[in-house]
Amino acid sequence: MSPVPLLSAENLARYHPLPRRHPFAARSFFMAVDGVSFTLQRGDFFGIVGESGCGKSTLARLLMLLEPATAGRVSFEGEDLFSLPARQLRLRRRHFQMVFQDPYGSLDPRLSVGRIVAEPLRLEVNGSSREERKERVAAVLEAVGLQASDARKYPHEFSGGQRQRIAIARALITRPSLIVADEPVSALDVSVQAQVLNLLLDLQEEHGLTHLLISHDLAVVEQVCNRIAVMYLGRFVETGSTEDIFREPAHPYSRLLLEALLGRDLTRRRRHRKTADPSATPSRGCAFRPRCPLAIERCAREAPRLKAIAPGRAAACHVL
Amino acid sequence: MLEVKDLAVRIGAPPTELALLERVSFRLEAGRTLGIVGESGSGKSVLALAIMGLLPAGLRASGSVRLQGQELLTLSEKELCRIRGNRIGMIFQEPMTALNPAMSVGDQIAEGLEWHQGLSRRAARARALDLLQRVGIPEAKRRLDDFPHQLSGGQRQRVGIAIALACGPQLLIADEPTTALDVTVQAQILDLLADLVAEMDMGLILISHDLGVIAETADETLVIYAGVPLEFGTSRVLFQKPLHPYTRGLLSSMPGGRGGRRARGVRLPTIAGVVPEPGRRPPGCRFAGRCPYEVAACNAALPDWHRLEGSQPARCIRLKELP
Repeated sequence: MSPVPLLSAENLARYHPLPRRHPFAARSFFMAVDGVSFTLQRGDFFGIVGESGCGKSTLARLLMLLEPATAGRVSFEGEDLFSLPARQLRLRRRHFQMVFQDPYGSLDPRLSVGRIVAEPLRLEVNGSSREERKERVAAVLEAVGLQASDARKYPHEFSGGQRQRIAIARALITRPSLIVADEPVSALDVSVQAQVLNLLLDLQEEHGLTHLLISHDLAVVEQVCNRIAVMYLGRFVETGSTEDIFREPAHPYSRLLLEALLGRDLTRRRRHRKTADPSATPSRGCAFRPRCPLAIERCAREAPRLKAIAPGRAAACHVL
Repeated sequence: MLEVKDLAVRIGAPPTELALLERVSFRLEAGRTLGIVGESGSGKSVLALAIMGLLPAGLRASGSVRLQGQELLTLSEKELCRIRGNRIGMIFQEPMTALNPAMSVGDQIAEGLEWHQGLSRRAARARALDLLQRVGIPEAKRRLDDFPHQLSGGQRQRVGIAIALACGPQLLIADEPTTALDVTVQAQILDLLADLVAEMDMGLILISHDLGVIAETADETLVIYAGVPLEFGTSRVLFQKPLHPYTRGLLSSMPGGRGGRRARGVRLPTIAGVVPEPGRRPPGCRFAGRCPYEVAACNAALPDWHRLEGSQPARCIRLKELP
């Protein structure tokens, strides 16, 4: 009997209606997220990887209830978030917080760092006193490697890496159990990326935080995540432990992605890689079919579902 | 073919003058690729603009840039116009903003051919079609009249490459050509560039913050930090055995970088501090203040090139004593 997962998503979907081709045409939809299910256990460092446009950021926004889902459910500690009244939901929000990609755009330049970081405290039921707030801001700034005195400064006085630390401090101040980070290091320089990744790892170990990390960078995901999901055009095509997937990717798309990364051996010269451009997406069957080297006739007829291929591993492919 | 000597770019008037970039020297032969790698603010894009004579007003270049013996820095704007897009091709980071949204891709490729080589509209269009096919755009004939918004990011970058190649340039400068693209598309664009360099016998200057991109595409690599080149060598050697403490730190702080792939959860080594802005660069070695091997002498003057027996040069006075 496994404990109640911290977060679970069931058949989560988000469709955007497309303009009709002519007034009497049937409505068609763009499926940004198309039936995604997974669970997060406490202490997990779960990574979602995929290329731009695969729906990974939309998925994060659905989980954080920043965007309404078209279908599906999100439960947090066993409680269905979609059926909660708005007031109740607002109180729950302090348990799950988000860190955004762009540390320049996500901090209000007119607010002092102290006010930025203290802002989520408004989500707490019994308002804390001014002194208390100040103390908590100082503590959380120190926890992310900044100084308590930085609270008086403004965002423009900080570098990109430091700003991302401020954003992380803001997410931490309500003592959440889940942090969703959407590309937290991709806007940062290489030498600063490592600092922020190490901070996320420290937080996981010291505070038992659960992380959901969204990234297009496989090397980053491999470094910090224990479980990953590979996403392609709105669906998970493979899930499993990071170790398994990196050692032996099952889905042809995971293989393609990994090849693009491992071609990156810094001491070896480039070799030719054969990859097709992601062009027209078929309306039926497997979305990856036009780029897939293994496609068979069945792939054109029906879309594969995610099914278990080994303990703790699943892939959505007819050929496996 | 291209020789850059002691190139510097400065801003402001002498008493408060700031150097954005200094002491840049390198040579590039036809058919070779030079990688220029550096973090944001290191001056790598300024370097590209200086070579092309496209520096924004207020920035001044000094030193020498020679393309096949011809000095470029002293040319008038009119003379430069005859070289840019003709003998020097450029590829930019963001293909959506580099392309004209109100002009078909065929016309954009043909434009340079009509302007520089005096081709008729018909001949230029025929040539544009060849180029589109060469850069790997499927159904090139139909795409000729498409506008940029009708193409995917990878295809737009291919169009950008076709424009840069149109007049058969001797030198191609690509500033972060794959940064805006997905990994699988990145790989295709880098393959295409490498093929074209060999086939058309051009020199390619590839600028990127991405060490992986440089390592796999460039023959030689120049590492720039805070406006000064710190290390220069063949890519294979430089990425395998980096010498300068900055290059070493950079490579080992990269997930999956130097030292291979680490076990999950192992903390990455980091470089302390941040890249200094132009006004706050240390007077001696630019990496001072962040370097784990720093001694007092490092702050005396900007170090010269040093090398170990048979190694690539690096600007570090302690090269021989480093562990």
